[in-house]
Amino acid sequence: MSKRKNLISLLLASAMVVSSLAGCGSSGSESASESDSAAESEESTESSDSDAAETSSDETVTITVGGWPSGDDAFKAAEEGFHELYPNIEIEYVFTDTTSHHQNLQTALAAGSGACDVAMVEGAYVAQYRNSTALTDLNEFGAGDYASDFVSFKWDQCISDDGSAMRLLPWDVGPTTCFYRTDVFEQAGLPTDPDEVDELLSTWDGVLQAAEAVGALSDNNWFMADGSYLYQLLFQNRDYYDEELNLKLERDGDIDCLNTIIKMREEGLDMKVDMWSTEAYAAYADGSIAFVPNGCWFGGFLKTDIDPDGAGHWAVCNLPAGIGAKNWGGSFLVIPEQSQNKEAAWKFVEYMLATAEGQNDMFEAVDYFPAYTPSYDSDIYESGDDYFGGQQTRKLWAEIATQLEPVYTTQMDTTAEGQIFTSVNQGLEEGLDAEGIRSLLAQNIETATTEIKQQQIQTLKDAGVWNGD
Amino acid sequence: MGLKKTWKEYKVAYVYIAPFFILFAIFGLFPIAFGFYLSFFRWDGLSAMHFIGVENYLNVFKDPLFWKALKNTLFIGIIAHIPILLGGLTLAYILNSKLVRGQNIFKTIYFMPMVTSSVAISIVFQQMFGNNYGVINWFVTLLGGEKVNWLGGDGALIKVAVIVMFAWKWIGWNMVIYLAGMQGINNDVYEAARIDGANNFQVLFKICIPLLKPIIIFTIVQSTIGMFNLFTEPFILTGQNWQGGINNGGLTLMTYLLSKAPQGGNLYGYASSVAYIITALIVIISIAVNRGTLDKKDPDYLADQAVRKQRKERAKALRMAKKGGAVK
Amino acid sequence: MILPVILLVIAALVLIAKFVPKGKTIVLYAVLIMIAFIMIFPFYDMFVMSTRTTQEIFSFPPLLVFGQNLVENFKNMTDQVDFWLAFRNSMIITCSYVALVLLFCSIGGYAFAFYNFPGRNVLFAILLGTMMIPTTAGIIPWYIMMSKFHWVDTFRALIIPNCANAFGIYWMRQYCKNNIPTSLIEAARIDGCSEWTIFFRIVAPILAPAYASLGIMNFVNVWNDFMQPMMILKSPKLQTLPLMLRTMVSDRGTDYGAMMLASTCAVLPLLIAFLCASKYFMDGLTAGAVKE
Repeated sequence: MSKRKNLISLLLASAMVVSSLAGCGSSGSESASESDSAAESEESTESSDSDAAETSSDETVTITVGGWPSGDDAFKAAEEGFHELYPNIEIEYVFTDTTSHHQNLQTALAAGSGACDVAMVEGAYVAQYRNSTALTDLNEFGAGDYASDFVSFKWDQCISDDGSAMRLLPWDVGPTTCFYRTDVFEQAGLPTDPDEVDELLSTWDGVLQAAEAVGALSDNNWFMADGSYLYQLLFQNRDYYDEELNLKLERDGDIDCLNTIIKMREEGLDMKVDMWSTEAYAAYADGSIAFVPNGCWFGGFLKTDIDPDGAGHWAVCNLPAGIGAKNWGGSFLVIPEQSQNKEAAWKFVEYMLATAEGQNDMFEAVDYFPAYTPSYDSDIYESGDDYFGGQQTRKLWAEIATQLEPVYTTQMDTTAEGQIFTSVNQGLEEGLDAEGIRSLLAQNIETATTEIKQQQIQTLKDAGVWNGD
Repeated sequence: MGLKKTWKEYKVAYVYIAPFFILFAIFGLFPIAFGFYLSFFRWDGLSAMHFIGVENYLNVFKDPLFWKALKNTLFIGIIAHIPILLGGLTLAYILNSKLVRGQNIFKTIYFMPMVTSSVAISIVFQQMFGNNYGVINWFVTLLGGEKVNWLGGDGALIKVAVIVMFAWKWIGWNMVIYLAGMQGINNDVYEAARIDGANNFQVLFKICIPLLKPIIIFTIVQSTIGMFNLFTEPFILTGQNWQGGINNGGLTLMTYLLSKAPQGGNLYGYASSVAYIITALIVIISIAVNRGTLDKKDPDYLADQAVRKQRKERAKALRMAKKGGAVK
Repeated sequence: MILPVILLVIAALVLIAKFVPKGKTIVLYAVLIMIAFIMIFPFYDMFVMSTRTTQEIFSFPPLLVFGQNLVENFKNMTDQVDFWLAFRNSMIITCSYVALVLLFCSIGGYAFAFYNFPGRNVLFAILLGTMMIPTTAGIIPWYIMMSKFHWVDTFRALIIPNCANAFGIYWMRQYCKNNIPTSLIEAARIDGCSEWTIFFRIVAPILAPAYASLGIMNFVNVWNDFMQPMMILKSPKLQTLPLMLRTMVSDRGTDYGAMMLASTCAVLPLLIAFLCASKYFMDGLTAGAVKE
C-alpha cells in the first residue's frame, strides 16, 4: 500500500514541478503575463473583426510588425504621421536579424500560425512569396490602384505568376551606384569629381587603370573588397533565368569584365574579402578599400554606422563600363493570411509605402529609397548631401530608379547570386580564363539550384503557367 | 495474469522511466514520423504539397553537392580524430601518471572549450584565422612566412580551420573520458607489471590500451555523431555561406541539410529525406563499430544473457504448468 | 576509418614513452602549459576584443592586450539591447530545464540500472536509438505542434519537450551501475525503506557528482540554443541571450567590441559555474564513464 502512495506522490510531485514551470513560462514572470494579455486582447479583437470598421473609433487594435534592423527605425520615424491618421492602431515591433526573420516568417506561414500582422520581405524571397496563398491578396484592399505609382521593376515582381493576385507591396528600390573615397582617389592621382570619375570608369580598361593607381599607393591599399563583385553587377537585377527557366549568363561585356577581374587579382588590387564582412567595413572606414559598388541604401550605412566621421571624403558615381541601371536589394511588406487584423495591417502598409509622407519620413531616417515615385516630388530629392560633399545623390538615384526595366525573377535567383563570389574566386584560384570562369559558374549554379528549380517548376505548374516539359 | 504480476513487481521502474517515454511519445515521435512522411513530398511550406514517392531520396543521391558534403564531413571527422584521440590519450596518460603536479588545474583548463557558446567562439576563431588582421597570420608573418588566406583561397584550407576548432573543442572531453578509464584500472595491475620489469611504454601498450578499448570505441561513436552534426563552426568560419565557401570547401552534411531547410531554404520534403539519410549513416556506422567490438566477456553482457535465459525458462515453466491444467 | 586512427594513437604513445623519460618533467610542463595556453587563448582573445573598438579589432598587427574601450562597449551594448532582460530569461529557461531534466534522467537511469523489468533491453535500445536522429529534420512538425498546443511565445515550449533526454538517462545509468552497490539498495529494502525513500535518501546523494556534470552539460546546451528559441519566442520581452546576440549583428555594420562584450557576458556565467563545480564535475564525468 505504501508503495502506491509513493507512486502517487511521485506523480504529483512531478506534475507540480511541470505545472510550476509552465507557470513561470506563462504567468510567473510579469513580462510573460503582459504578453499573454496582449495575445488575449488580440483574440478579442479577432472575434469582432467583422465590425471592426464601424467600431474602430473607440477600439484600439494592436498590430505586430516584423522585420530586420533599420526597418524598425524607419517605421518609428514615420509612426507619428501614422498615428495622427489612425490613433487607434498601436504598433508592436518584433525585429531580429534578416535571416532569422525570414526563417521565422517562413515557419509561421508553413505552420499556419505565429506570424506577424505585417512582415518585411527581402527582394530575394519575392518569387516564392508572390504565389503563396499563405499571404493575403492585397487586391482585396484595392492595392491595384497604385500600379502606376510604383517603379514597375518592383511592382511587376509582386504580381503572382498567374496574374491573379498581388501579395506584396514594394517598399524601396536600390538604384545601384559606386561609392568611392575621394581622398584616396586624390592621393592616387585620380580625378575626384563624379563626372570625371564616370568618364574614367566608362571602360573596363579605365577601371583597371584606377585600380592600379589605388593599389600603387601602399601594401595596405586595395581598390575593392573582392573583384567578383564587379561581375555580380551585371546580374544585379536578378534576371538569371528566362521564362523557360534556362540559365542565361551571357551578357554584353561580361568577358571583358572577367578579364579585368583576373588582372586585378594578378596584381593584388582587391582585398579578397567578403564585402559584407566586418573586416571589409573596417577597411572602408580607414580608406584601405577605396571603391564600393552598392545599392543606394549603402550610403545610409556609411553615414550612420560604417564611417560616421567620413563626411566629405565619399562620393557617388555611376556603374562602370556602361553597365546601366541596376537594382540592388530593396524590400517589400506582406500581410499573412493568418493575420487577425488585416484591415489595420493594410492601413499600416498603405500609409508607410503608398504615401509620400510615409515613404519620405522613412527614407530620411534610414535611406531606403522609395519605390513609390510620387514621393520623388519632394524637395529633399533636389538637395545636395553634405556627407557626399554636397553631391545631388538622391537626384541621381531617382533617375536610375525610373530607368529600371522589369525582369523575370525566380526562386533560384538568390542561390545563383550566392554562387558568383565563390565560383569566381574558385576560378581565379584555379587560374581559369574568363570563359572558363563563366562556365564554372554556370555549372556551379546548375548544381546548387537543381532542387529549387524543381520546386519552381512545381509552383509554376500549380499556377497553371508552366509550358515546359 | 503474468502481466499483472510483472506490473506489481516493477511498477516503480516503469514509473521512473515513464517521463522519458511519455514526453518522447508526445514531442518526439510526431516530428520524426511527420518528417518521414514529408520526405516523400515536394513542399515549400507556402503552397500545396505534392507526393513524389522516393524522388527526393534519388535526387539527394544524384546531387554532387551531397557527395561533396559527405566527403568533407568524413575528411574533417577522420583527420580531426587524430589530434583528438592522440592528444586525449597523451594528456590523459600524463595527467594520470602523476608525473606532474596540478593535474586538476590542467584538467579544468583543457575542458573549458566544451563549456562555451559555439557561436561566440566561432566568431573569435573567424577573427583569429582572418586573412588581413588575424592573429594566426600575424604569427605566420613573424616566422617570416606569407599571409595565408585560411578562410578564402581555393577553399581547401578552410577545412584546416574547421579541424582545428573541432579538435580544440573535443580534446578536453576525450581526455577526461580516457582519464576516467585509466583511473578505473586497478593500480595493482601497474605495480605488478612494474615489478615484472615492464617500462612505461610496455605498461601502456600491453595493459592500458587493451583495457581502454571499450572507452575509445565509446568516444569514437560519440564524436561520429558530433561529426555528422557539425554545422556552426564551418558555417560561421565561411562567413555564413550556405555552399560552404569557395569550392564548397567547408560544406558539411549538416550544412547541406540546413541549406535546404529550414534555415537556408524551404525545401522541407527534400531536407527531410537528407535528414533520414544522415540518420541511416549514423546508425550504420554505430552498428558497425559496436559489432566489430562486441565483448562477449563483458559482465553486463553476461548478466543480460543470464536474465534473458532465466525469463525464458520461467515463461516456459508457466506454459507447461498451464498446459498441465494445474492452474484454474 | 577507425583502424588507422588507432594505429596513429599507438605510434604516438610509443613516442611519448621513448622521448619523455621521467627525469624530463620540465619538458612535460612546457608541453602541458603550451596546450593550456592554446585552450585558453580564444577566451582571452574574446575578453580582449570586448575592451577594444571595432577599428582596433581590425588592425594589424593584432592588439593582444586589454584596451580602454570596455565602458564605451558596455554603453553601446546596453543601448542596443536589454542585456539583463535576456539574461534573466535565459536563466529562467535554463534553470528550470536543468532541474527537470536532472530529476527525470536520474530516476530513469536508476530504473534502467537496478530494475530488471521485462522489456528493459528493448526500451533501452529504443532510448539509445532516439539519440541518433538529428532533430533538425523534425523542426517544422515540432513547430506546428507547438502552435497547436498554443505554446508559441512561452518558455514551456523550450523546457518540457526537451526533457526527454536520452543521453542523460544513458549517462545516469552508467553512473548508477558503477557507483551504487546493489547490496546497498538491497539492504535498504530489507530495512523496509520504500522505493521512493531509497531513491531520494540513498541514491540521489551518491549521484551528486553526476548531477553536477550532467547539469553543466545540459546547462551549456540550453543556454546556447538558438534555433528553438528563435522560432518560439516572438515577443521582444521574452528574448534570450543568443537571440539578443543575433540582433546585434547587422548589415549596417556590427559593433564588434560591443558584440564581443555581450558574448563574454553570455559565456562568463557558464565558465564561472563550471569553475566552481569543476571538482564535482570532473568526479561525475570520471566515475560515470569508467565502463562503457
